[in-house]
Amino acid sequence: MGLMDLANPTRFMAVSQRILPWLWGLAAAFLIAGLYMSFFLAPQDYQQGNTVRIMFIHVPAAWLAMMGYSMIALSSIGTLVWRHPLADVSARAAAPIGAAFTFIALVTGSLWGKPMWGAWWVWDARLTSVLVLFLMYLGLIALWRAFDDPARGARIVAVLALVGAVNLPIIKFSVEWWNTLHQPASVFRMGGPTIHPTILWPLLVMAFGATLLFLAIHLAAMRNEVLRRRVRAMQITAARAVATTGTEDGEPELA
Amino acid sequence: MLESLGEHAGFIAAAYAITFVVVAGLIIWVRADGKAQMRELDAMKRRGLRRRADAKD
Repeated sequence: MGLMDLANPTRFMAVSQRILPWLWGLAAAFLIAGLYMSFFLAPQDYQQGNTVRIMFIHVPAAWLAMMGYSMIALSSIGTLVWRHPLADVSARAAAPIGAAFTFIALVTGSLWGKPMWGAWWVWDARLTSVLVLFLMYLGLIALWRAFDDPARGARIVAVLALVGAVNLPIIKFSVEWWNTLHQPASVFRMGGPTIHPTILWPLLVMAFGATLLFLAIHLAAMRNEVLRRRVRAMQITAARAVATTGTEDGEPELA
Repeated sequence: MLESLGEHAGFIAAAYAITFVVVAGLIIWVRADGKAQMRELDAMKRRGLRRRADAKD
């Protein structure tokens, strides 16, 4: 089965139904293992003490905040170039999940910043660009909801989403381009991670579990969106039947 | 358990609690939405409405 077969909504619904239970189960297993490692195996940081344990949720949430928007941007290309309805379904399903993980990254970062930096919030480049990402998520969600017909809204939202993708490299490189309170990259960097393996492994297990959870929620949300569009299509067909037959319920003509 | 996290235990507990609430909210929302769409679809099928794709079967 190729990728194009999966792009058929009916095929997608069948395959995703089989994959989803495994995704939920794997995500739960990795997150439970990651939480155990985070609290019982990982040592305190020599400078930050126990607050380093906030990193095990803050960093995966921040990565997924960017991954969610990257998925929207890639899906938007699918909407604009191939006009495939599943591409818009994917983008629309990813937006609230990405917004939720961005919110988690902002709040946990603030809760980590207060004891370490002495401030809940500073208007530095990293924090501000992530706040902009959160606002862009909300903007996309609001714009989608402004259209009654998803097909009409898809292309307009896709253009806006692609314009907003310029924020992704700004977030990534903000700690290098400007002086910020936020620490520079310490996992994905040239020369390898700078974190000790006793802290790095719990972080990677948590990040993998959180990624699986994101994908499970995304797949479930995509299925919901496909169903929503089917319901809408049936309602429109029913309304047209009523208009042409003159009957109020239109039921016999559609059966 | 909480005392063993030291003087900043409140910040750590709050970070995990908020994350749990947001993620649980997402999961509950997505499952409730799925059930609502299925209910709607079943109700329309009971009324005799069919998708064009189903009608071909």
